[in-house]
Amino acid sequence: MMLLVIWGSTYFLVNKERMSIERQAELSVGEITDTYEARVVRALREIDTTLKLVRFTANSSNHSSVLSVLNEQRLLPPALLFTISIVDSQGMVVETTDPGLLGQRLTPPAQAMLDDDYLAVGEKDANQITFTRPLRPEQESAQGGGSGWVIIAIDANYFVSSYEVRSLGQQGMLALVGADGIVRVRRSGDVIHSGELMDIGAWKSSTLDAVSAPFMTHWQGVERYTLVRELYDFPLSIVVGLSAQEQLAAAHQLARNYWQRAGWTSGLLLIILAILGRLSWQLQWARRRVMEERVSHAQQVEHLAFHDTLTDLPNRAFLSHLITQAVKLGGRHSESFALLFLDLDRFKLINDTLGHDAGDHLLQEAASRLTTSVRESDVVARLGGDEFVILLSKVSRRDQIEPIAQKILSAIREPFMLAGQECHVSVSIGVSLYPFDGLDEQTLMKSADMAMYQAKLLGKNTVQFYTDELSAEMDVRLTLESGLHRALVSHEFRLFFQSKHDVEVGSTLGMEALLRWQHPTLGLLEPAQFMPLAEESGLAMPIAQWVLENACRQNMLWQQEGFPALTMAVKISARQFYDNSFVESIKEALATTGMDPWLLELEMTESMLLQDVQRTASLFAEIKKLGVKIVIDDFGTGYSSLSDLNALPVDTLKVSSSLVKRLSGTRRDQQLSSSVIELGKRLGMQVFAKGVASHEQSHFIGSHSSLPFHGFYSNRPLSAEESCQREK
Amino acid sequence: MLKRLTGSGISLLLGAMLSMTYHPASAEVLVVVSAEAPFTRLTSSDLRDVYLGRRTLIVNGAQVVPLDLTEGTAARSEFYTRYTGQTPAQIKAHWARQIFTGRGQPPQALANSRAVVERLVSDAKALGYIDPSFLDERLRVVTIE
Repeated sequence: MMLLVIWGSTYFLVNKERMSIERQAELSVGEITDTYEARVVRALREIDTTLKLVRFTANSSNHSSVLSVLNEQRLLPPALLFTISIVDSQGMVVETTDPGLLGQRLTPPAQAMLDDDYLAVGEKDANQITFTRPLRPEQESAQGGGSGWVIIAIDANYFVSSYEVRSLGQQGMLALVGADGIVRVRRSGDVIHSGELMDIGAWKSSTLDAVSAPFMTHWQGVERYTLVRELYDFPLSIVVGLSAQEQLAAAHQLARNYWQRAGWTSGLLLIILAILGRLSWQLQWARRRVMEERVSHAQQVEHLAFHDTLTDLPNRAFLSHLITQAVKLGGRHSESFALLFLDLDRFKLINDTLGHDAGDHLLQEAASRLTTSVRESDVVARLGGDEFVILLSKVSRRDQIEPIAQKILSAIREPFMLAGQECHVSVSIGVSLYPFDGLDEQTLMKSADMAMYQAKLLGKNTVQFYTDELSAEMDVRLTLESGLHRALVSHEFRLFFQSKHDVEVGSTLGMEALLRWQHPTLGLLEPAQFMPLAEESGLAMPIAQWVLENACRQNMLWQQEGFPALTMAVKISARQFYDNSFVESIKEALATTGMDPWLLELEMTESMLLQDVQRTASLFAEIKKLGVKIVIDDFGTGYSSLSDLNALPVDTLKVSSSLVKRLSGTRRDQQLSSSVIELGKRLGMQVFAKGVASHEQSHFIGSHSSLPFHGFYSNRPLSAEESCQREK
Repeated sequence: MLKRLTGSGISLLLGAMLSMTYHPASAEVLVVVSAEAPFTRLTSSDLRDVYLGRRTLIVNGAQVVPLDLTEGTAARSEFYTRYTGQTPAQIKAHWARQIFTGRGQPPQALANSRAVVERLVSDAKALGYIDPSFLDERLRVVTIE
């Protein structure tokens, strides 16, 4: 648009300038022509007047020296330019202002011969133009030129001496042309020509008004604005021309300048536009980049917010969202789905022993194995720690889930390479199904979690589906768990006692303390029902300590009541045994109750002791220093390492009740039992039978003194009061 | 300007020196006036102007009429070459133009130095140039400054 304006206006200006110059040139030609015409006419009149003066003087005076007389009177034009001669009828020079011509012969022009009173213009003389009149124009010279002529020869330059290069240029033209079309003199610049033929007739006919309106001619290779004037009274025309090329040179220069300027302006404009365009493009680009950065940043933030950084799996928040979605979809399209709650079984151990890096690596590896074990459309999420959840879409039956779960189990069972060593890890899986096991995210997650817990309880590396029974068990568990904390404070634990009898007389030798929990709603509970829970919740040690102390205390109470001093046996768990404060806790119990150490018997299972034989040995040594006795419980059931056992300072063996039962079985059974009992005896230990339920059985053992028992335990636990009654 | 700055005495001296420098060269042509002429010195530019028809009035308002020699004389070409710096052909072209455009007429041309001398003697206003051999006591040489 701008460019169009620039070039349009430039074209307009150039055109206007050109037209104005053309007009100027035409005006100029007109003015120059007017002036030139006036001067030429005046010059010719002067010449003619001179001719007439000479003729008149010659005719009237008949003097022989007409010219010198006139010259003296200063009536002749300067001899410098004008050569005036009088010739006779034969053409001989009679008198002249140029002494060099005297006696020469001059040929008068042809016209001069014909016409008596005619200013004849010479046709072609070297650098001269001659004007001639006959001496005698009167009737006597009827033959014409009978008495001679007066001739004026003029330097041709004279007629074009008014040529000014300033106004006419080097290619302009001032010319005097005869009626015959022969150029008498022409000047262009500083060069003077003559004798050329100029077809002024054709020029004049080609234009309507050749006198005042300049027209364009093309003559001898030059274009000119030209005017031709036929002179009044003289057989001559003047021609004035201005070179179009010269006149327009300025216009051309100007036009060139204009075009150049337009070019520069356009260029500048284009550059500015280009710069602006580039700037705006850069701005847009920068904006777009900022936007892209924002979007990618937002995406990153969103990804971080909804993904686990370690495994890049969806996190709890994202999973929650997905489950909510699935629940909504399930509600609408009655599509069922399953939640698999996974927990790596030995993760904590690996993390603690091999370090966190190995733990992280395990999680990553497990995550990728899980992802490859399920379908593309299923979601594997990490809740945190070693807990993963898999959302299986479009499954409704256990038999659909079972294979997937098995696949996962076997995938995780493959050994992991962690910190340069091969590790075996398993996983416990709990499954809940929508809509059967819950209609919202929370319930479904809780159900799956419960099922997983059950799977753990059932020995890990297994799949467990949620059932309503499971839920009920869980409820009990929860009730117990919450009750445990309270139980110690509110004295809900009780001690029951089993008596130890002499084999021969059946008199009571000692007591064994048994822990019971008098639960306010669930009734009397055995240790197996709550001790695992107590271990999990960190209450195992305080409870064990309570048992130890109270057993001792009860024994002292009985002694104060007058009973004889009985031994007091207390069951020790593996956890308790390996606890660093175990020996200290025994000392403390004895110190606070004041019971004699030799009355205390610590019952431990064989397998428990053999976990770490050296530790066991050093602990036993300390225990023995206190004077406390050590009893091996349930001897003869599990695996026994007789050499280890022999090395330990064990006081008593309790033979398991199953072995005792065999005594009344087949001969082979009897032999086995007898051998075991005999073995104990030979090792220098007291051997007692366990689980003698009835009086008859005890009697049987007593009467068969051949049996190698030191004594037996009654099978029925009694409370402290009942025991007291019975002993009385 | 020089004249005004240095005073008439110095200008006289200078003038004499200048004319002395010109004298050896003007062995072939002398600018002369009648002994009765009211001036004896001219500046070269005045002389040139007078002979090229640019002015006619000079020196204390007295009119000066220049006289020329006819074309082809030795003194003429010497005079024009020396005092106007132009060739006879240029002088001719100059007058052709002057006459044609109606601006003036060339000085009256006399056939020889003798005619010039005769004319100078009879006309106190006339100024001319002559072959030095025609110089006599009726004439006075014009100092060209």
